[in-house]
Amino acid sequence: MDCRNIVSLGEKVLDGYRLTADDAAALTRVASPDIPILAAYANKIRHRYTGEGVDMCGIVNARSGLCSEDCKFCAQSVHHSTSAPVYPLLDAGQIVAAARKAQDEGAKRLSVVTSGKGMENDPDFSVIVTAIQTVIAATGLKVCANLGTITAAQAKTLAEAGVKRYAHNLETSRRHYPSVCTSHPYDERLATVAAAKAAGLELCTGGIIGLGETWQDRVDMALALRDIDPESVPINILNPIKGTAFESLQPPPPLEIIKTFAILRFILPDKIIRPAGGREINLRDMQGWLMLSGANGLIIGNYLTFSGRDAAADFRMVRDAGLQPL
Amino acid sequence: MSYDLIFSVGKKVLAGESISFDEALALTGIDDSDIPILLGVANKVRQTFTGNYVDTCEIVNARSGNCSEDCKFCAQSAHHEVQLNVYPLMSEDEILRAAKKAETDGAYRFCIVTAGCGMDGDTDFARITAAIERIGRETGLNRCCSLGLLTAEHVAALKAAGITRYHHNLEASESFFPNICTTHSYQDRIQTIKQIKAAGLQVCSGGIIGMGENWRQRLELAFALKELDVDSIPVNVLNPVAGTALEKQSKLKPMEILQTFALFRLILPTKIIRYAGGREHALGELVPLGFLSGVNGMLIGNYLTTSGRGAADDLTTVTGLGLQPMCKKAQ
Repeated sequence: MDCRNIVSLGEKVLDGYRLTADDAAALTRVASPDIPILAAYANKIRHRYTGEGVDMCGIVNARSGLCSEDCKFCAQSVHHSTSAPVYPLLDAGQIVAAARKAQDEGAKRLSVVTSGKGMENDPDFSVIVTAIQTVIAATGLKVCANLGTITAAQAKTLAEAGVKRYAHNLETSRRHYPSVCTSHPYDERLATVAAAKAAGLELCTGGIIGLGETWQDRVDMALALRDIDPESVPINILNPIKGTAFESLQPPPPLEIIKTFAILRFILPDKIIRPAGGREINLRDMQGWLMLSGANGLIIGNYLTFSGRDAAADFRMVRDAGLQPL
Repeated sequence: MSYDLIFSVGKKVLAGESISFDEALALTGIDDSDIPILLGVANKVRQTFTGNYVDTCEIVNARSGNCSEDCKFCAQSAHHEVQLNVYPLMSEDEILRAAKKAETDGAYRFCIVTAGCGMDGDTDFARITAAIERIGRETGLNRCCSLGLLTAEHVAALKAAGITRYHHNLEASESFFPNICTTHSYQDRIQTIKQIKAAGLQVCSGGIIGMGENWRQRLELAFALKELDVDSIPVNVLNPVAGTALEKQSKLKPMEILQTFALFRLILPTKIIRYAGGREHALGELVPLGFLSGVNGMLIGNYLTTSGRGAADDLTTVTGLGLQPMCKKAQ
């Protein structure tokens, strides 16, 4: 696909056109010298559909490690020997303190994350619900929850407790998923996402790039996300953690990351597309460009098991790009 | 729609035609959300006419401060009270050391810069040519220098010493120049550049943006450089230094700076458009995007009176973008 095709497809998306799978596959064949034009069109689409706001979300790892699942990228899986922190559920006071820290850094949204497959039969669930209510009362932050698989009843409980949005990733495409995780199926993820949606929760659902997937897998994940219709799509870029099954995978180079975000914006014109973990290590000083390539959200502060950078740097970067942190 | 204009001008430039002043001026008024498209088109022009090479140059401030001139941006002017390391001409050994560091850093070019209006009646001149000759013997660097205004005799002596390119900025457009300097004229600068060209040396000449000039004046500078047919255009972004007349000048928006680089590329499609001082301060994390907006050269290492971020980081950025730094080591 050359510049002319990028431009004509970009124009169509600006006019409301919905990309076909073939269109998306063609975008993956854009050559390196044309990536800036592709990225610029993604930026134009972002501007048209979502404006200049950038959604800034902080996270708290409220329970870390000892996860029964075997997701090959994950530092918290018991199947891996990593130096990731391991601790039981933080108490409400600690979670509120983490929330206040995120708020001080400028976040308007906080995601409470726990390790583990999910909440079915988990006695921590009611403790978490109470903690979330405390956070909302104490800070006024918009609170999201990221607790793994949940039942329809639990989704309803979270919605009633004031949770705005449920975060649950697809991680990758259906085809590639078995190469990433074997301890629970892709359909179980879809079921959780559906349960959250049915309970009236917004969704924050995305995945990770750099897991050995093909371009077609990335497109397929994006198309699956389009069907799910989440408000927010977090995209992590693999940070290969020593001790994980994917410790030796080579993450995609910066230009390929930019191209991926741009294609996601073409496929998901009106969503929050949120660069998440791994952006600093993989994009280095090219993160500013990413903000002009279709992205309109960020995870700020630290990630689950590794550090991010100073949130102030992210706020400056967003403003330098002419955008407005929300 | 403003991007129709971007594409029609882009096509014209890619076809080898020149952009007119009015077209360039119209492109200064595009919507903010279209600026990345302009940058992408400039990138395409850069790639088409200059390939994927990025010219790298490291400079040494071989004589610092006490300058008789009153350039309002300059930390080295005797008219300003600035915290500055003032020193006379470095010894030949010191200059050589700086050149060797530049070579180790991966620079393709090395430029000896001295403070002062020019070389007229300057007793340091012979020592500078000796240093240039020695660098030629002891390094593989391309040698440039920036010594202010010159006479034809100086030019001949520099050429004999092995200089391939001389640096002398216009600084600003003719219409804006009197606002930033009153002790010598724009025409003095033009005269020096013409002498350099007449001697068959290459010219590195650009300026500084963000000094209070308007878009029209910024474009006049670019078109003047096109008219002079200079080889390399260093573009500094004002980093207001406390104590200078421009210390309170407000910062340009990063996107406007990138837009400027893109317009320079459309006006000067085949030339080296070079990142110079102030880029880190002014652009932050948008510095890499400049290399995809028309820039194909950079100063590496430190600037005259302010620090850069280190050559290694800049070279990593450039290679990460799929571009190829020009350097002696790689050849």
